[in-house]
Amino acid sequence: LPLNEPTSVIEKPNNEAQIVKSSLMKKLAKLEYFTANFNQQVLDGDGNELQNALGTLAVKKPNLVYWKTAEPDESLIVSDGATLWFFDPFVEQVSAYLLEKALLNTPILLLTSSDPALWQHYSVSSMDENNYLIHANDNNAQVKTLELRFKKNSNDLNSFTIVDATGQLSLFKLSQFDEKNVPESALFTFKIPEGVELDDQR
Amino acid sequence: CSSLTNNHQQITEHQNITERTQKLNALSDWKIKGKMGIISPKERHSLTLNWHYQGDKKRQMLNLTTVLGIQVFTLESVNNMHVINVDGERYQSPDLNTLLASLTGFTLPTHAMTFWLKGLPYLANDKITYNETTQLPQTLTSYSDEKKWFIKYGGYQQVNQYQLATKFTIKQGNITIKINVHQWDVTSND
Repeated sequence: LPLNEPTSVIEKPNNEAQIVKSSLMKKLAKLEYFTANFNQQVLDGDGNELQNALGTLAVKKPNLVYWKTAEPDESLIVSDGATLWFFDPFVEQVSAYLLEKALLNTPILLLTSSDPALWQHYSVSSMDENNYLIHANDNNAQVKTLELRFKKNSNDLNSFTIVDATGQLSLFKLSQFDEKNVPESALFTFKIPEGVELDDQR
Repeated sequence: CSSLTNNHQQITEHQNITERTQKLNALSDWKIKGKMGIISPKERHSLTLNWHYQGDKKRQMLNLTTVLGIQVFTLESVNNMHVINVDGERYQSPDLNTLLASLTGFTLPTHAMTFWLKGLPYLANDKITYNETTQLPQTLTSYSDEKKWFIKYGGYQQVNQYQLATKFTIKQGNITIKINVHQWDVTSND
């Protein structure tokens, strides 16, 4: 007698969380692409400021990201849909990762995809319909939570905050949020500059 | 008590070597915010560096973080007990150099660096070359831990009564450590 799928209470995701998750996914589904400037502030567990950086962020579905830190030091993260490129001019190196492998440790990529296979690694809670807290289900993920704060009843992101396993917090305040103009596709391609070392992790 | 301030200015007047060395020897409480790159044949890493050193209280806190803000390494020393947090594990030892070498595969000479970063010799036979016009340290050669360390200094700024470099390359064998200090916080004796 084949047993059908045992859906004991523990396995069945509790209904409330499922509703919150799908409401976030629905909200993000409307965000086909956006560009914004960011001010990143990194605070240690006691609230001391470790870093203050400025840059620009562009996201386009599916799976395309351009994340340029300009001040105080330049660095660039590009997802071209297949590879995630981490370029750091300070040590003249670019690291390349397979996108699907990198997804676990860079939940911000959730903004670029509504693929349920990706979202199942995360659960979502919400304070109100403008603020969502995304938790990594895998407890040895480097990033514990990603908090998304939207402008009042809109899809425009105000800020997002990454908290790592040690409780260190990275707050990205966004400005000039533009979800009208399509980001140029050239942003989402990466060419290895002359003389830069490739650290290929793929 | 002395507060830490961080107003950087261009250097206008030159201090002579003895005067500068005297002032910096007395500077025992400082904080650095910047970027550290480690380049070795096998791998290259570049991390945000935060280092708060309190010599007279025999305390220090060193934090290395990725560009995304994820903590990679911390070192906390109180008196002669050193605690390192790396990869979610916590290690403790009174012998910092062996602890560091066992964890990172190479010795980051943190104690020697608390002198080198100020442009001061760590060992009596550390050799410093000075720029003729500015009288500021240009290079330092040291044989700390029986290894040859070669340091190049640049980007000098006036930070209160101190003249401090903000660009460092530290070479030892085939390892290069690059440090770019965005902000020095120093005790001002106001």
